[in-house]
Amino acid sequence: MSQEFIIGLRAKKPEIQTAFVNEYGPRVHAFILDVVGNACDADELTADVFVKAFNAVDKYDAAKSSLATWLLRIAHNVAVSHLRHPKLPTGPIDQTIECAETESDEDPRIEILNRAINLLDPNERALLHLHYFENARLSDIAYTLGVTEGAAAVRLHRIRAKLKTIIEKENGKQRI
Amino acid sequence: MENNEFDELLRKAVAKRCNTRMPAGMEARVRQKFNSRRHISWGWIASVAAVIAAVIVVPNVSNQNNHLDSNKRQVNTPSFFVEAGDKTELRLENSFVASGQLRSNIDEFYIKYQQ
Repeated sequence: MSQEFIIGLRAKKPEIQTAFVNEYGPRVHAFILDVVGNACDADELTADVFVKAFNAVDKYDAAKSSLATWLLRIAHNVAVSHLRHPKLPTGPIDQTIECAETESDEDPRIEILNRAINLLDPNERALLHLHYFENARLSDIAYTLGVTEGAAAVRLHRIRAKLKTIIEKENGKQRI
Repeated sequence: MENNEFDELLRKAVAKRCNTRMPAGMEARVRQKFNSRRHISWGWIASVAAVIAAVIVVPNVSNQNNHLDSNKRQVNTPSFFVEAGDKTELRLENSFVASGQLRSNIDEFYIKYQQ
């Protein structure tokens, strides 16, 4: 399927472009939403990612990564660039939590974790998303973030340790 | 807390963060942006052409102007070797200036001689 996409996108076929957006759009949108933390910005940036992908599809190398990983790498660059130089005034990051459906019987630690994740660096949020949401391999995570596999592994370990400490502190407070 | 339990908690937290769905009509939005960027790219090409024209043409024109200025400077310097055209008048003017100077020098010499 991805081979068909590549051929169609290189030929700039509109029906293939539409199918490509429908296939990968939700994943790209979820990734950007997680990194940027604002639904309105995520919508706009998702469209930007696909426009960039359409324009750069000739440079895609199937030997280096899968099409999805390549697309997420573009998404990562777009999201991080947006946070560095916002064109539009960015909304508060907590809006995401308000937008999301909340379950009453949900573990309260999830809410605490979400607040802690909001305080992380965008690259760290991207890494968490790729590992826990995309279930991506370490090599794909490294390619998406533009780092070595070793660096990605170390970062993931540090982030987990940081978040675990926060959760355990909160648990301790609740017990007291 | 066990690692597995923590991982599961993190998985749920990340999933909750991405709970908002992609809006409908994203493909139309992408198409609109893609087409408008194409127009912008033509504008970009036009602006690059304008910059190149400015870089190449303007210095040439200014060089020509400088050349004319240098000609003017040459014309303005008193010279008896100016050859043709409207510059002859200038040569004559310079000659008069020179002859006037010579005359005043002779007059001065004559007065001193008489004294």
